[in-house]
Amino acid sequence: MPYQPEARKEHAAAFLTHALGKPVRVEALSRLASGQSRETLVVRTDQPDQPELVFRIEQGGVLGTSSEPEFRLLQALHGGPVPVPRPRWLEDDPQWFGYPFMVTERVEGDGGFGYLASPGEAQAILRTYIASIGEMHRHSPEELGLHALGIPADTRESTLQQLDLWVDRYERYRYVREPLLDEAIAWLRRNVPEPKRPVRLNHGDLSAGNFILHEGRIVAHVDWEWSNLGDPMEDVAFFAYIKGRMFGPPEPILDLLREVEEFEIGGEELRYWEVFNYMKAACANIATLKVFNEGRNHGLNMVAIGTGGFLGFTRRTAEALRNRPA
Amino acid sequence: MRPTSDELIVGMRNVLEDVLIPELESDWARAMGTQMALMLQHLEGRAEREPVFLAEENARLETALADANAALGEDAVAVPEPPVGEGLQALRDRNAALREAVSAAIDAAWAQGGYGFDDLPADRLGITEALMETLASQAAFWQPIGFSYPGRRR
Repeated sequence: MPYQPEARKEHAAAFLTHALGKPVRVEALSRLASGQSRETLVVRTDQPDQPELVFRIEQGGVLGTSSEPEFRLLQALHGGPVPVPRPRWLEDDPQWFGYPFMVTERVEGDGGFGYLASPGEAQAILRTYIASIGEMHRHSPEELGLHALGIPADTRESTLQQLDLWVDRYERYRYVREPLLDEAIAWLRRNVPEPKRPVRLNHGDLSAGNFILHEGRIVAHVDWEWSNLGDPMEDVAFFAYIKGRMFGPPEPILDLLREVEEFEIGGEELRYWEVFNYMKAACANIATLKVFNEGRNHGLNMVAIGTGGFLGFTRRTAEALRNRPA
Repeated sequence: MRPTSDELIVGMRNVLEDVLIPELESDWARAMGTQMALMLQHLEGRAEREPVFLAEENARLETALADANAALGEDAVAVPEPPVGEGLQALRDRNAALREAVSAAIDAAWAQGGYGFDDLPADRLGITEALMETLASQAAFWQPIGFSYPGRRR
């Protein structure tokens, strides 16, 4: 179902009428232009007892993820030390929007990244965000109530699981082989780091825009679809080398992360996770092309991600592999 | 026949940029309008560019495969048969087959063993530069769609 605002309003109202068991009218609906893997709608209803709601609708396999694991994770995390939006409904019936979706309560605050235009403010927010990342990684999965999600025995097992997951997406969604990516995948399998630290909750997509800021505090981490229980070096390298670049170059960000993380950050391990994350981004990006070509998502941004995005991350993967210490 | 396909594409892009996009109200609609304009720009001349591009890339991959096989010696991999047909589909099929063969050559190099943390088969086979050029030329082909990555800057 292509995005049409008035139709979306009707469908959201119909779903909420069904879910709440009483007539609901949608007074306002807006689509967030950011975020690629989900169509994200902010909905305000005529129900005074209902907060604003966020609908996150799958896009037919964009970036190779589904809603259910994310929803189960939010259920487990809500109310604990890692702040997340309150999950409300998980729905896989395509009658409402054509694809499965989940609904959470909207968290009061700012999820945009306009502060990046002001370097001083951006650095202050960066420090706050990095402190919250350290907090996220300090708790064991058991402390966070994540027993039911299946906790890997150690970080080696989780790394191999994550590799299998991303390589499966590459194999399912690619049209042709990319020899340098194939080489990197084989290298990653041969060089999985030995377990040195306990398994932790990885957000998987730490980024400006993936947290809600309110009165100088991080009040929610959002967009958990790449989350996993694994080696927290994954998050560290992902943020420093990929999304953290919105704030500045990797080294100062790594120094800030060293202040909050309880493990050593550097050496061959860091390079491993830098390569891993570029590979992961490449594998996620290639998934968008078939989704577009098969008509499951009409967003033209799918083409940009599956061509330029995929090629850029494949090149970074190959370059990082060859960035040998002097 | 006039207007040509490219003239029609340019005309559509002009209307999109000058008339339609300024009237759009939502962020999402404007983002899609801009993507569409970039896509139309990419389509200008693509029919002529694509066969030339694929022929060049296939030649580069054939050379890389020959270099890899020379380095592999008795572990050399099979070279795909030349295409039977002609035209764009034959070039695409050839491209896919060559990529499979180059990846197979990299697998064969891994299988020869003796790799440390900083050793890589494409380097050992002497084909890294050719494969990097392939990535760069692909990225250039898709412009102006998508993100451009200017190369590593630390």
